[in-house]
Amino acid sequence: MIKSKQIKEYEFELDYFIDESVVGYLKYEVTYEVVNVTDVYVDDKYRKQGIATELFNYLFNSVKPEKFMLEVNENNLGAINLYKKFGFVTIHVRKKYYKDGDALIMESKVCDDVYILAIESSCDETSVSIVKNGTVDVATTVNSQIDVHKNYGGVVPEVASRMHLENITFVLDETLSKANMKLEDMDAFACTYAPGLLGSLLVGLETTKTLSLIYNKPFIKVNHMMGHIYANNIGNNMSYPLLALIVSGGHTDLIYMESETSIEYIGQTLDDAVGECFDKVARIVNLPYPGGPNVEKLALNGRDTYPMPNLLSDGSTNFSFSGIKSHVVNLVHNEKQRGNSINEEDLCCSFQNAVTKSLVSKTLLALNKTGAKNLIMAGGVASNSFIRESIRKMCEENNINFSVPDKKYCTDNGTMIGAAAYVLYKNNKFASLNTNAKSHELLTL
Amino acid sequence: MYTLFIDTHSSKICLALYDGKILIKSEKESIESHSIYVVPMLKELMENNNVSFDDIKNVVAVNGPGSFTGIRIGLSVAKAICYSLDKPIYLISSLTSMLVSYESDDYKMAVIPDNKGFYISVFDKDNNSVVDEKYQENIDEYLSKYNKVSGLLDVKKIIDYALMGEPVNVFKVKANYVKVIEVMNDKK
Repeated sequence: MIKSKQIKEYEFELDYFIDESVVGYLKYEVTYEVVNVTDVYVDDKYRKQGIATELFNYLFNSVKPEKFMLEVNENNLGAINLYKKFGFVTIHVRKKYYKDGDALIMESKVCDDVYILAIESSCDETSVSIVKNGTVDVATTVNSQIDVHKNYGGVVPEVASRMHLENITFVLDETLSKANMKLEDMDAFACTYAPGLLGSLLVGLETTKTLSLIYNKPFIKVNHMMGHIYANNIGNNMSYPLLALIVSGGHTDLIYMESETSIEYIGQTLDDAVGECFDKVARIVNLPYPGGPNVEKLALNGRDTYPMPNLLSDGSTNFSFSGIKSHVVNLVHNEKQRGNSINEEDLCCSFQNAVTKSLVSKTLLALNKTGAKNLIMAGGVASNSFIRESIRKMCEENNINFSVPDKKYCTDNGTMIGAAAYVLYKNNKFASLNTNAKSHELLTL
Repeated sequence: MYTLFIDTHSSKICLALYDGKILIKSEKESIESHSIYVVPMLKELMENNNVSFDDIKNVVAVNGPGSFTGIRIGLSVAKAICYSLDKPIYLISSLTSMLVSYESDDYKMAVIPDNKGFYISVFDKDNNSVVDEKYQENIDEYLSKYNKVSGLLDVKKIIDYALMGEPVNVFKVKANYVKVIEVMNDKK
């Protein structure tokens, strides 16, 4: 953990704490538009653990001068390499400044804008975006295959993979021309590599790795769920510590983030994901794919008349949606057997209310447990207006700062992958060209 | 200037650089996914031979039939190169590449087995098609009529043959799956 303190009017120190003792620090002076780094130190036994990197990243994020400067012994190669990684270049050599060598004066002009080209192809959307500094959506193209998969009542993996390969070049080309940029303007290339449909992921992954090789720019692999979380950074800046409620077709997670690089699972679904449950209910009442939005539409005109079970009221911060799914199946079946008709609008309304109630109460419980004052919501189901507004209301009543992405950034898109990739870019977390796709993976940075 | 050759339709990945005279080949039996190997192999092949992307004049890619995933990996790489560097892309079928590798005075047949059947194609001695590419569960009838080629690939001959054809618009590059997947037959 890093703490900043002021020593004199222009002098500051960043201290790196492990178990309440300082194991490293970075001192700097601020004069007008220049920040001079005067001293960097890390205890012997804590070296090579990225502490200096974290200190520098903290510095770069907390002050915004025109340039950073520092001086280093020419023999201190480890430090020089680190500084070079941060964009420092040698501008002057002080001959024989040290007993054993020259001093290099290095400076780093404050980074120009960082442009990341990001590809998302984990399911049935081929999307390419160019994202500036992790927060600005410069250009995005999304090619959705919904119309094709509608014919099958769901996503067919082999069909999706085939379409990704055919569409990827169009989508890439359209994004570049919308942004009026060239591939050589990019600072890094990023894509989703997990979780998702393997055949689909591979099209985006191989394209991205190839571009990284051609233009000799870093390749960044992004976990799809991390992308959903960082969609909240688009046009906005997330405040930490925060609790993230991730709701999608494959996930229902509560995650606590102390800072932008720390992840702690607070709760998960024990069985079905909330989006999956919406889709199942849609199928039961014969609504077309994608089911979730159609259930929401019907619920809008319905009344809460059908009794629904209480969803996992065990005091934990986990979710369970398989019970309500079976309940709806049985309910519809029994009514049919009795020759009664089902009021689909009322059924969807009752179902959506029950699920939302569970999401709201478990999220509130997790907020109280963690003490987080910020809540973000992410994932495809976050585009459900009723759920968004219910969570927003709960936050207002409890003085929680709430953020949810625009609906277009809730469903799968390249922008969110670019936003997450920027966090990895800042932390020098680059991936190797032998990266493989993975169908399953817990949230990782 | 070099032609870059990319073949990922089977478990053996083959990349090559060809300047019209000398062929530099890199092959690997893919134990896990092709995804782990293809781009690193390309990087190594180019670096070891001091070839940069500026030295690539065109790409010849094998577009199947064979492993669906394998084909898509090779074609994703080939498309990314040809789109970004504006180079012509030539496609060749995996069956054709087997047939043109093999000299014969008679009809010759290429066979690629998969879990339920076989992809086949038959050429005459001048490489004119006799039986168009198809997927068959049983090929006994064809085996009794035609000689099966060995399956060994002569990359020089394959590249020369592919370059005699027309380049494909990179936006229209498609895999040559041959087999229609079952679900597409019983659309709702």
